[in-house]
Parts: sequence; structure tokens; C-alpha cells
Amino acid sequence: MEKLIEILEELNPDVDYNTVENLIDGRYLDSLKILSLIAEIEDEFDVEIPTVEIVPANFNSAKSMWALIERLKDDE
Amino acid sequence: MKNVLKSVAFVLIFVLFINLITIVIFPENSIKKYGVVNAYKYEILLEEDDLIDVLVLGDSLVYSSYSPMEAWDSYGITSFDCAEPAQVIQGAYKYLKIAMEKEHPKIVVMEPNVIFRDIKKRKIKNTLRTDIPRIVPISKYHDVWKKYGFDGDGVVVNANKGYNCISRTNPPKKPIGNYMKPTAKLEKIPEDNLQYLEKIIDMCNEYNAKLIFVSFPTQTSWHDAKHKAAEKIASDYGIEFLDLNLEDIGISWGSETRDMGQHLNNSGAQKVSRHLAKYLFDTGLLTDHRNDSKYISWNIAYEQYKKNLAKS
Amino acid sequence: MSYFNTGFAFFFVPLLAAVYNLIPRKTRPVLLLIFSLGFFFVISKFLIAFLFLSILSIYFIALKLNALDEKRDAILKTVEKGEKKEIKEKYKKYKRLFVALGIAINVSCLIAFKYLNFFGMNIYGLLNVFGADLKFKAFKFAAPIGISFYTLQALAYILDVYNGRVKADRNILKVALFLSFFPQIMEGPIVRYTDTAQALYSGEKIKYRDFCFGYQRVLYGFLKKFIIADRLNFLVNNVFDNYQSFSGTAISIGVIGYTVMLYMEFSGTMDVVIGIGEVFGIRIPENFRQPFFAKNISEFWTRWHISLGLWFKDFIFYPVSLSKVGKKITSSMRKKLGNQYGPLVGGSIALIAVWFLNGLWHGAGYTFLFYGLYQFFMILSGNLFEPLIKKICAKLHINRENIAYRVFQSVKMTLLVFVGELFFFAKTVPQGFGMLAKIFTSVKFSSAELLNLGMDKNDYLIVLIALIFVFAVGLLKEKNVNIREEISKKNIVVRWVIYYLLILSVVIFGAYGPGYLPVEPIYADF
Repeated sequence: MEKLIEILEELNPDVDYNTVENLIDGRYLDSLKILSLIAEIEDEFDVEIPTVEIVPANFNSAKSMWALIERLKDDE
Repeated sequence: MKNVLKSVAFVLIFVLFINLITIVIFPENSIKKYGVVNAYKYEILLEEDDLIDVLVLGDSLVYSSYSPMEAWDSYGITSFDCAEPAQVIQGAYKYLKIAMEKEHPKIVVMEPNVIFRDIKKRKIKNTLRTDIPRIVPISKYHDVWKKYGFDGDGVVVNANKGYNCISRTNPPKKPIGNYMKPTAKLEKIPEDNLQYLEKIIDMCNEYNAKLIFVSFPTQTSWHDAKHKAAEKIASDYGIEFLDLNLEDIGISWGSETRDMGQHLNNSGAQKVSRHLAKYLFDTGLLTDHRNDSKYISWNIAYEQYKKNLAKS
Repeated sequence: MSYFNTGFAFFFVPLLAAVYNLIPRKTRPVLLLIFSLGFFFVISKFLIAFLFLSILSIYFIALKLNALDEKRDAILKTVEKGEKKEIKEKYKKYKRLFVALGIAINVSCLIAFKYLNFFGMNIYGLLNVFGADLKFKAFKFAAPIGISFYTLQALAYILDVYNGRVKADRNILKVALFLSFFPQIMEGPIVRYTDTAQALYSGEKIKYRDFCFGYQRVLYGFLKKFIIADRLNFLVNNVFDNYQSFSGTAISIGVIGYTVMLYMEFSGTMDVVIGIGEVFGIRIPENFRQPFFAKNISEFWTRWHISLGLWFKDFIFYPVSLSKVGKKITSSMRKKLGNQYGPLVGGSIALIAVWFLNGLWHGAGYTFLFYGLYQFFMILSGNLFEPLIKKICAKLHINRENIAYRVFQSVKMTLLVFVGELFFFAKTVPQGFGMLAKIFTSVKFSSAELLNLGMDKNDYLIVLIALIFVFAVGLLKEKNVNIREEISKKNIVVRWVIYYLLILSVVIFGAYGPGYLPVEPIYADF
């Protein structure tokens, strides 16, 4: 989780990722940033994020992203 | 149930409201004198008294073929389309009576198709497009608010003088060819219609106006049997008859009809209007009013009419 | 036919609503379906066959995809772990085959109706360059109404089923209603199965409140279209048709007028569409969210024609940028260019695909392609310059959250949108450049010229007042105020006076009847 927040802060440092819950809907992360984010996550956590999972619900908060990563790890 | 009542109340109050507003904001006295509904139905009531020299009675052929403003531009004739969709002769008589009392014209043009229409079989399409304006009359002249805005004096709400501007072209699928092929038949005239025609003739005599039959170009609503019947009536009653379907006006049916040969569009109507204007002016009964200061509103209306044409 | 047909909106729809409420619940969706198909038939006659083709193709292909999934899962249970991967791959291939079939059927109809002439013309042109002397004869036929919209919606359904986002529906009536629902069929929004299908088929009784709120929304749409868009139409066409004879000032007014008109017409249509949906208790997703409050072009496209943007994002942008090749590019470029610019390379490739297709979707023509590419370059340069602007602002101590800066951003963005829409509406790309050049080279101001474009002083005034009204409503929406909710809390006199005033202003200040040229539904042609 800390590693994830680190990645996020690198992308956009002006957000408090522990509290903000509308990262997508509030346009803190646009689609290009999502691309970097996915690349980072896939490298770091050794998972593969299918395009189906790229929905606001999974990326609106650091918490939900973490839940997604955990879930994908289990699937492996 | 309560909600249904509420909705009905909402609509009723709305209709009341809009009629009140119509009466308040319409500067024309005629609205107050004749009522909103009549002024909607008989557009001539919005005109000034005694300025109009020619009335044109008839159905949609009239308001699609004859544009009074073209006659104004070419000969300074003041005319008005007293036309209704699928007009019957009883309706024509009623309209004529209203228009005569108000305008005392010199010539009354009547489109003879009206004589053949049976009031009992009259099919009038009650579309919402025609019904809504009847409930909400101001929708037709809503631009009247501009009279209270900038340059209010230059605003004319009724610049087309009864004519219906339509520029759309929709030619017949296959060229219709000669629709006036001679036949031996006479079109039948419904029983009561002649009686009304006599009433119309009487009224024209009473007001000292010349009655002329003019049939307007249409490929689907006119044919030789109607022409012959109209010709016979005209000679019986001693009325002048001009059939524009037989005149060389140069209508090109490939581009100058809006509904496959039944009605003309603006371009066709311009030719017809100027042709008829010349005919009317040549009677010697009419005067050119273009430089008469009493008729200044017609010059203003012409400017507005040109804009309406461009935007149609 | 248009949703702004008074008879349609204020007679047929309420009539339908009344009948809908009186019949048994189970038959209500059927009524909606019959009305929807009837609506389609009235406009497009026997071209409705193509709608049926779409419905049948996605219905059966979705079922087949689900059947394949089930079969795969059943087999997976019986085999050893080592074989699983192979079986999964095998079924993936099967599924792809069927999805490809579905896409082929639907897309080929779209191409046949919208693009044959354009491609044909270009191929002939090319052949003629090589000496062949061919004359191109354009096909003349009308496309089924809304084909650009329902095709995308149909594709979304089978792709969602393919991806497992949606389960294939066994009820063909439900699928048919989802695709053909009459308020959306002409101009969208392009919705997803999960957005509306459930509500469409539930047959809930109409609630009085939904009915009122729905019609308030419809009224707002009428206001935008009748008072503003229709009033501007003649002026805009006049300027674009005869730009050579006008000054730069007149051209700017025409160009601004076009964007305003487009927005008022399209978002006004959406108000009517969403309002009618609301009457039947169906929450159709918003297609506009105060686009002119956006900070930059990229954000603008998340607020303007939202459903189309989302479609391209889900089915073009991510699949391209996250494909195997896309990912490779992204990871290698990130190593070379760093995290700021690295993903931009792969992203741009996907983005260019999105905007190429977006341009093409609007119509076959170079102006639309140019328009798409223009948007692409604006978004790309926004991203490229972002770090630089950030630095400059930091140096100059400009707070980027500050109101003045936000206004500056939105104004700049709006100007860029004007230019984009100028090319969108121009007949040819050179005409677009010609107009753009004239704006800057022929700066003259003559009030007589401006009053001769097709609007008088009164018209300008009304447009201005109405725009201020729409702006104020937008501002409140942006602040998350639910306006209709607030009004409904007031007492009945205040409420009704507000409604009467709004209706009356549409009736009196609407630009209809002789002397006005109403806008034909713009998006229905795309």
C-alpha cells in the first residue's frame, strides 16, 4: 500500500491519497496518467491489469486500487 | 387523482394567461376589436383599414402561389391572400364578408377550386401544427414583442400578407406531363355551392368590387373537367376567368414545386404573382401606391418579407 | 422529425405515458418497444431491417459468447492445472471469432451507409491519378436514423459481454428495447447495457414527480434550442456560406455563433432526451457536464458528448494503449524519457487512433478528420507543456487554483474550441483556414454589417440574455445545486410562476415561424 501511494505521488503530488476518493471523477488522474500508473503497478507488483478492470470504481481511491491489486494477485 | 387535477389546472391557467398576454402586448387594435381567435383565423384583421385593393380567396393553392408582396414590388398593388387550407365556399363567403367590411377592395379574386369542394366531404387534416397555434394564437405572431424593443417601428408581424413562404423543392417522381388534357366531362358541383357563389357575387356588387376567377397552377388539383365546369359557370354569371394553368408562365415543375406538383414553392410563386399582378394592373382599376406616404408600412413590410423569403 | 416537434414532445409522449400507466406492468416494456420501433419506422421506413439485423446479431452473438464461457468453465473443472491455460486460450480464440463476426456485421452496415461514397470517391481519385479515366457516381440513399449511435451501442453490448462486464440477456425484447429506445435512437447518448436495460424493462409505474421533473428538463431543452440555437442558425449559415464578403469581426461572430448554436442544439436535445427518459423513470446518463467550465481541451472532452468519449476510451484508447505492443512501447519509453513523457508516446498512438475514428464517426470528410487531428494535437500539446506551465506558474507565484487563473484557463480553452468547431462546420479545410486568416487580417467593425448578418438588435439582446441564463444554470449545476429540487421546495404560486415565465419566454422569444430558419437536428446526421 505504501509503495502504491509512492507511485501515485510521483504522478501527481498535489493530492492526499489517503483521503481523496474521486481520483478519476475529480480528474486528478487523466487517462494518460492512468497509463503510467498501470505500467508502474504491473512492474512493481507483478500483476497484469486487464482493460476490463479500468473503470472509475477501481481507480477512484488508493484503497480501491490496492483492493484491485490484491484481487489480481489472488487470481494468478 | 389530485395530481391529474393539478395538471389540468396548470394547463388551463396557462391558456388563460397566454391569451391575456396576447391581448395586452398586441398593439393592433383589431385584436381587441375582433378577439384573439378571429385575428388568428382571419389574418386580414391585423391590417390597417381600407388599404387593400385586391382580395384573393381560396385554398392552399392561393397562399402557395400568390405572394402579395411580389405584386407590391412590381406594380405597387396592395393585395391580400384570404386563404384557408381546403377552403370551402361557405368559408370563402365568411372570410369575404369580414374582409369587405374592413378593406372595401376594388377587385376580388376567387380561386374556383373552392366551388368544387363539398363541405360534407371536406377532409381537413387537423394536425398539431395547426391546432397548437389555435389554442396559443400568439405563437403565430410572437415576434410582436420586438415592437417594444430596438427600432420598434420597423417591425411588421404580418409582412407576408397571407402568403406562406416555402422554398423547399420536391418535384414529382416522374414528370407528370400535360395534366390539362381535354376531356368531354364536366366536374360536378355540390348542390348548395352555387347558392353561396351567388351570395358572393351579390356581395361584390354591393361593395362595387370586380369579381374574377383565377385558377392557379397545380398539376394534381386541377384538370380540364374542372376548367370546363369553371368556364361554364363564369360565362353563366358573366365573370372573368383566367386559368393560369393554360397561360405560359414558365413554371418548371422539376424545381418549382414543394410537394410533387400540387403546390408551388417560392420560386414558382414569384413567377405566378408577377404574372397575375400585371393582369390585375392592366384592368385599370388599381393604382400604384408605392410612393404614397399612407402606404409606408407596405414598404417596411416588403423589407421584412425579403428577409422572410431568405430564411424560408 | 426532431425531438423538438411540439406535437411529439407535448402530445404523443404524454399520451404514451398515460397509456403506459394504465396497462399491466408486464406489458409496459412491450409498449415502449412497439412505440420505439414505430418511431423508427415513421422516420426510416423499411430501413428498420438494419436495426433488426443489429438487434438479432448482438442478441445471438452475446448468447453464444456466454455459452462458450459456460462450456469453458465446465471443462476447466474437470482438467488438470497444467492444461488450463491451453483451454483458456482455445476458448478465447473462439470468443474472438464471434466478436469479430458481430463487429463485422454491425460495422459493415455503418460503412455501407456512411462511408462508401467517401472511400469510393478517394479510390476513384487515386485511380484517376494513375491515368484511369473514371467518373465517380455517388450513391444516393438515406441511412437508417441514428445508425452511428445505435451501432456503437450495439458494439458496446457485445464487447461488454465478451469482456465479462455484462451477462448476455436471454430476453430478446429487452435487448431490442435497449438498442431502439425512442428518445435515444436519433442522437444518443450512447449508453451501456448496465445503464438503462434494467430500468427499461422493469415497467415501474410513472411517478408524478418524475413526470414533472422530466418535463421541466424538456422545457429547458426547448428554451436552449428555440430561443438561442434557432435564432443563430441563419446568421451562422450566412457567414459560413459567404465568408469572403464579410469582415473578420462578422466572421468571428459567425464562428462563435456556430459553437454556441451547436452546444445549445445538441445539449438541448439531450435535455429533451433525458427528460423524456425521466418521465418513464429511466435515468439516461448525462451527455454534457458544463463543458465550457473545463480547464483544458482534454477535460473538455470529458464534459462534452461524454458518452461518445467514454466509448472511445473504453473500446479504443485502453485496448490500444494496453495491448502487448502498446505496453512494450510504454515501458521502453518510460525508461528512456522518464515518467512524465514516457507514457505519452504509447498514449499518443492510442489517442491518434481515437481522434481519427472520432473525426470519421462524425462523417466522411476531410473537415471531420482535420477536426479530429486538431483535437489530438491540442490534447497532446496540453500534456507536453503542462510541466513547463507548472514551472512558470510556480516562478511567477500564480496559484493555479485561484479563480482568476481558472477563468483564464476556461477562456483560453473556449477559444481553442471555437477554432476546432470552425473546421468542423467549414465546407472544406481550406475554407476553414481562409476564415481563420480573415478573422485576424480583416479587423473592421461596422455595426451595420453585424445587423445585416441575419439578426437584428433585439435578436442579439435576446441571445445574450438567454446565454446569461444558461450560464447561471450551469454555474449552479457546477456547484452541485439541484435546481429542480430547490424549486420544488417553494410554494405552489412561486413554482408555477417560474414555470409559466419559462414557457412564455419560449413561446414569445422563441425563434420560430416566418422570418426564422430553425436548425435541423445536427447530430442526427452524424
